Amino acid sequence: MSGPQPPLLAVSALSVEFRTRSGKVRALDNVSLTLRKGELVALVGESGSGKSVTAFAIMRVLDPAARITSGSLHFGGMDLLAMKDAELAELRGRELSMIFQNPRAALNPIRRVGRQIEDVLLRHAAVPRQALRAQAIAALTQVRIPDPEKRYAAYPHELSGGMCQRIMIAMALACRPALLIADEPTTGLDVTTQAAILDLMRELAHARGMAMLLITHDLGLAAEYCDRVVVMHAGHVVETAPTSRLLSLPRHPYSAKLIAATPRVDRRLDDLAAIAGNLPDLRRADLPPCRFSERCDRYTPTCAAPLPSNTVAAEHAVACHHPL
Amino acid sequence: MNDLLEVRALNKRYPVGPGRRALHAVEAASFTIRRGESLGLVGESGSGKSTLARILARLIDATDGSIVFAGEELSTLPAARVARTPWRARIQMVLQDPGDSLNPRCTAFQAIAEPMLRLGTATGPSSRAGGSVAERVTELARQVGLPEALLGRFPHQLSGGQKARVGIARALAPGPELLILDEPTSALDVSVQATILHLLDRLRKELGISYLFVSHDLNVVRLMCERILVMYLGRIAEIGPTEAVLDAPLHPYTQALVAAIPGRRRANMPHLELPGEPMSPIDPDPNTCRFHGRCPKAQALCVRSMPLLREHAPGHQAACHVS
Repeated sequence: MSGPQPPLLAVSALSVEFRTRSGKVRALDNVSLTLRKGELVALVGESGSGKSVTAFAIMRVLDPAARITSGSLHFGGMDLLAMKDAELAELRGRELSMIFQNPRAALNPIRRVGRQIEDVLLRHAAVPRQALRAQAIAALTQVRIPDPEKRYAAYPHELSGGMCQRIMIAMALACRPALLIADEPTTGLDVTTQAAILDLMRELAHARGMAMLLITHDLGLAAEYCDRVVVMHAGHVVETAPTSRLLSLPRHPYSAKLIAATPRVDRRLDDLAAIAGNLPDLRRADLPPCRFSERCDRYTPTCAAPLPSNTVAAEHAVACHHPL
Repeated sequence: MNDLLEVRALNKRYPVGPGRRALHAVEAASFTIRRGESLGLVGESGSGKSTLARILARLIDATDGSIVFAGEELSTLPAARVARTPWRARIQMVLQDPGDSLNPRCTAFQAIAEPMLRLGTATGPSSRAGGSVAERVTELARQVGLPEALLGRFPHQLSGGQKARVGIARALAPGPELLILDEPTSALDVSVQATILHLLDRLRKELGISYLFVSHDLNVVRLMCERILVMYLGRIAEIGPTEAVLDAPLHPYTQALVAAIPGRRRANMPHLELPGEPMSPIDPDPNTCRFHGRCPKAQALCVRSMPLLREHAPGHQAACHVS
């Protein structure tokens, strides 16, 4: 093969609408992002920014009220939008895995956790039955669950939140996926547990060359663990940049304000600035092309023109007429 | 006497199962909160911080120990009776998620007016206006930055930040001297969190009240508090001035906690991973440090004698044999 390698995941100009009783919610508009093999990328935004909808769209598990109105989704050269349900079911859990926010809710409460890992192996990896238990225990060992032989037989309610999330990771990684989507995997966990879980995920990703899309509202976490950051606001990708560049030289006014609003070790209360205004109502028919324009202090009439995507440096793109 | 609150040897045990087994939720807690001070209370789930906050809010009773508030012993008054005494007005609490804690059938006005009407403080000395309830509600709304036009709305018609403001106004309504804030911004986005933190800081300085600020976010506690109290499995691990605790933590648990703050580790702090899980809080060995088993610095002494709080620098105490 010659030429640049195609990305592992390519989301191109994706738009998603939800039909509700009070009108169409334009949840995603023209969202594009790519992930290379083995890359750790953070998808950062506040609630309502469209992070989870993007993840659900990639997994093709959107709510029935949602409709992908335009755009394309490619994963490992396959067109996800053209795949049949049966093909998608084969892909999910094997090539493409996802872990969710509340691990206790995602696990079956009345099935032993070891059996739940075996279910994944049986469904996706064609592991012979006599080897199942050993492989499930190996999976538990890999996510550093102490005493894996004993924990194999535990029910989710017998384990702490951190342990349950480790079980979810073991399940998600059991078939060695090429991409893991982690939707707020440590929300609700203690900080020391959060650090341990994310360290583990990063280490396993590096060891296996697995790519990870970390969905988080916490810019600090994104900065700590990811190579690149994709910032979303109201269903738009507003900026994409390598992590250290985004933090030191944000170009989109929203990214800059988000950074300024995040409490940090080296920041005093006086330096902490709130972001004025609210997210626009995504049901509005007259949504402006730039959905941040009504909260933005750099607004000019030019902003009523269609949103640009300016590449300002290598791997650094910003959707703004007046970048910083 | 500059102390508003003095807690001494406070214990809370919950009986569990048959026999005399007990869960030790809070053990031997002793500390003070000064007038006008903001004390941060941090710890992970199961550390007892919520139990401690609820005892101090006089929502539940301690098993034993003393709580002296403004010079008067408060622990002898059962929690069930506090609601009918003036104490209820002097200690108020702001609950975690205003979306869950506000009555969905009450307007913002009713939510703010209710504690005053119940406690009869609307025209009391704490009301500067001294006027009607309506005037006081309007004044509170102005203080917390809630537009007057929103007072007629129900919680579902308010944004997260607006609901947080209602929750704060409601707690301030009876004119408390101590405000217990239980994760007041954890349900909010960062863009809104910043405004609420500014508001809380301004209110404390304007009104001269004290805060017990419960949070798991050390970056937020650092911004909001003068001193920090760290709990681990029911016991105070460390207490001291914010900068000292966060920049030069003494207790190995605090060190691990500080090292886990995102962004901190990248800079200079070494990464400390805590092995294993916390020990069971049910009848733990009274002579073993609660952190034993996870502590990277444990020594033989740590299983023979419970470390007590020791002063390492003025006002900076830690309960560790090794530190």
